[in-house]
Amino acid sequence: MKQISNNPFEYEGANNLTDEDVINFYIEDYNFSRAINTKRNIFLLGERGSGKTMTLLYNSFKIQYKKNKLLNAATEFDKIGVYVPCNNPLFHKKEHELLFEEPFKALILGEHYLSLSLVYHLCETLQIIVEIQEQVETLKNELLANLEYTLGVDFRKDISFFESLKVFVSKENILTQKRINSVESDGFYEGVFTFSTLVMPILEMIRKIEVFKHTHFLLMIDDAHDLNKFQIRTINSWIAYRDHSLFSFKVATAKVNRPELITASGGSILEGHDFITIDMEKPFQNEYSDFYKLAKNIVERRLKKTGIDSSAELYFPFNKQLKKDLDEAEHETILIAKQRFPQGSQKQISDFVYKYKRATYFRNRSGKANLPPYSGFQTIVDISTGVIRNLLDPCYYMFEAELDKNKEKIRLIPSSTQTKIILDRSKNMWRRLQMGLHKEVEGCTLKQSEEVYNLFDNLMLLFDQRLFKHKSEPRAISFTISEKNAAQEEFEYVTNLLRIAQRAQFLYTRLSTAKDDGKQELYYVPNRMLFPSRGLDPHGQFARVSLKASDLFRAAVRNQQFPFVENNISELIQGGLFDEE
Amino acid sequence: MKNKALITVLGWEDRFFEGIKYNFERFGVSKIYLFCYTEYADVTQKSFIQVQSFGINNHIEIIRFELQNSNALFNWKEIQKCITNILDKKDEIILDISTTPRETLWTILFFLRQHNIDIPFVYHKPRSYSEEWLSREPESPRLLFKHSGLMTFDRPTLLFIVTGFDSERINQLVSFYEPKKTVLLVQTGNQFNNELRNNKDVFRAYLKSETELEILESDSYDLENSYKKIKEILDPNLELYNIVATSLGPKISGLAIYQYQTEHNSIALSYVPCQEYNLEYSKGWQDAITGILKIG
Repeated sequence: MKQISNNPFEYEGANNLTDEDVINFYIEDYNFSRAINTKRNIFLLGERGSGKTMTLLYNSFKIQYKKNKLLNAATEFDKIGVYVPCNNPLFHKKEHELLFEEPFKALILGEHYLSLSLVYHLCETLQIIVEIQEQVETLKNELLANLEYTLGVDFRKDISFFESLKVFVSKENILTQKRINSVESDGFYEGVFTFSTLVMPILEMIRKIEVFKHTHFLLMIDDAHDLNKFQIRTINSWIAYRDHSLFSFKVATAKVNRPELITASGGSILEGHDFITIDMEKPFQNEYSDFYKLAKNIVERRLKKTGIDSSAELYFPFNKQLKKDLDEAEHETILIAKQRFPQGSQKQISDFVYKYKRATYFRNRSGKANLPPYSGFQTIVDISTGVIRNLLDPCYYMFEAELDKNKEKIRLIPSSTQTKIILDRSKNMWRRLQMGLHKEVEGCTLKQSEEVYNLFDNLMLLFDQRLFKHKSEPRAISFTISEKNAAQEEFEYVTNLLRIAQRAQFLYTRLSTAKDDGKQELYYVPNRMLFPSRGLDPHGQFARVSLKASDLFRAAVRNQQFPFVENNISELIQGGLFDEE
Repeated sequence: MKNKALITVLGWEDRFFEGIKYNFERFGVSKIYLFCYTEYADVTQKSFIQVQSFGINNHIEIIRFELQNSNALFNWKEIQKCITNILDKKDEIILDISTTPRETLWTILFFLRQHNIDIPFVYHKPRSYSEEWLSREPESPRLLFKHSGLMTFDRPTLLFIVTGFDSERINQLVSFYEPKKTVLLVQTGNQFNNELRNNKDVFRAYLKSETELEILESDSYDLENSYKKIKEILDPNLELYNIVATSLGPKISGLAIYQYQTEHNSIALSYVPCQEYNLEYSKGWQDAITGILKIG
């Protein structure tokens, strides 16, 4: 496994980190940890870089056990997290398609690989526990004899109990693949195991070891979106299992193309009843938000590990002129507020100032001025759009840019470097869009790729108009879709395009409460890294823009600008300013 | 006397029909087993008429088989039927790989190899390739049926790619398989503007933050050399990684990778199906590379 390099912001996929790096770099989110350590089945949703794998890994027993050893703390065995990665070429095999006339066999084959994998990782987790080795060795023969009887197979007796199980499932895994890859095979393997014929008996046998008598196993399946439809249905069937005393599932999956909720028997699993969902993507990025605090902790911890003791805000300072101009804009906005609300309360004034001061800054800038000097830690948090990877990416390049100039310890990132890198990364994103998502997103045609570009281009034009002219919500930079029923076909067409944009991480979605009827509404949040090179403010506010499905369609397909009205009455009913930002 | 039967895929490029004429002159072909993709029926119509006419004038029997783009299962079964048919007739086979997509090529080789024969092949090099694009709208990478390797639970993934001019497919492969390590084998020389289009610095810039990257060079137009290089790279990694291999470069490297996989079936062969190929993919005919593939 790879160690983090000299650049403290190097982003490495969690699976490629050492256990020590996971312990050192992960900032625990107690909400997630609490949820994962329950007996409930959980789906963790989030796109790449949102922290799903890191969260599962950190909460796995292997990491927690090592962490306790480092801290000289006692380990509890009441809950054991078993991390099971699915991004293995094993789960990309396609031979089950040869069983198209017998889908039941394809299903069982998928369950076989999953079950073997589960047992392998379970044993790998448990065999690190030093405290139980002697007891397990004493019980080994009895346990193996019982399993041999139950499963009708032979185990090696010359190695430890868990190693024997690992060797067995590894052998079965290879035998299965050899058989299925052989010329004469129809794609099936007769010796298949399932969750109930392999995993359950082994879990129950493990419970005979005293320390695991009351253990609940948290089976953490990562990258479930990589599985084929048969395997997904299998996992859903497992989730539908009524008895949660022995095990529960924590399944991490991408949001877009989230796997279906249908079980192997054609039923479905239900939110609330069979599982709960946790959205890993953080909707709010203001300095009071959980994500800001998390981002700050992540950055400061990473800096500390490389010997730099600095707050995130001091390490990424604002451009001085920007700060001065923002202060002036604030002052000007206070005066306007006092004029508008001569008898206004302090809250009224401060709400108004908070809402309009940044728009005032942008509106005061000369039309001939360069792009704003984007800088400051808040700006970096803003453009991350609530995704950890997006937070670390510009920081990484900023550090590299400073390294090129200066091999000494880098005490801070000058605002000029921050601005340059932010604009570079922003232009890079637009270049990707222009080159076309058909080159990177499966199923995206050239035509759709052009339409996605048109859509984003027109969205930015709209946000630009709003920033400079809109009277009530100038900094609204997310949107909802209205009048879907009136333009059903257009809505479906546009939804497809939005899904493509989501898969390429140009767009995120959030569920939030609709203002007028209290129902949940889907908000679409463009990746805020798109904003700087267009001179827009990435520090938005929650006031979402309501866009008609037909307008979105026209913007994408006919490259027509969105209609713009300087003052939209319905958007005046927005609620409190601190709802998000 | 045995018939000399050519197996090939109907193409629209100049080198397809030029290749047919060359194959006839060089090998004395009396039969052509022609795989035809239905989605490209319009653009290959002209070529088919040319082949048909040529066949009539030179007493060559043309036997046509239909395949479907992006229907792996259908194609697998059709190719199986075709090859069984060919081998039943005990024709002497020559395989023209010039316009054969990799998954089709590897599938043909799989069914041929069950009969332990050495396979003469020919590859027709074009005079030039399109400077713009060659293929686009890639689909998800797929593992080839029965060549999906022997994958273990405990090893990280190594992705091995013989690179070509479609660098987006490399990004897609890396993004899909999320390998711990990626080894790129880049073609040497500057034919077809290779140094610009198959650019190591571009690969490095795109991939260095995604995977551990190693970039090596080789002449993949030579089968023996290509095979040796692949063996040199992959042998030391067989016990350390789950290996997924693919060829995006010269078609000959596709043969070399296949040859290696027959000897080390623990590695998987992957390909990236594409929705669209450039109708100006290549121009002209330059020369032919021939050889014998020993995979029996």
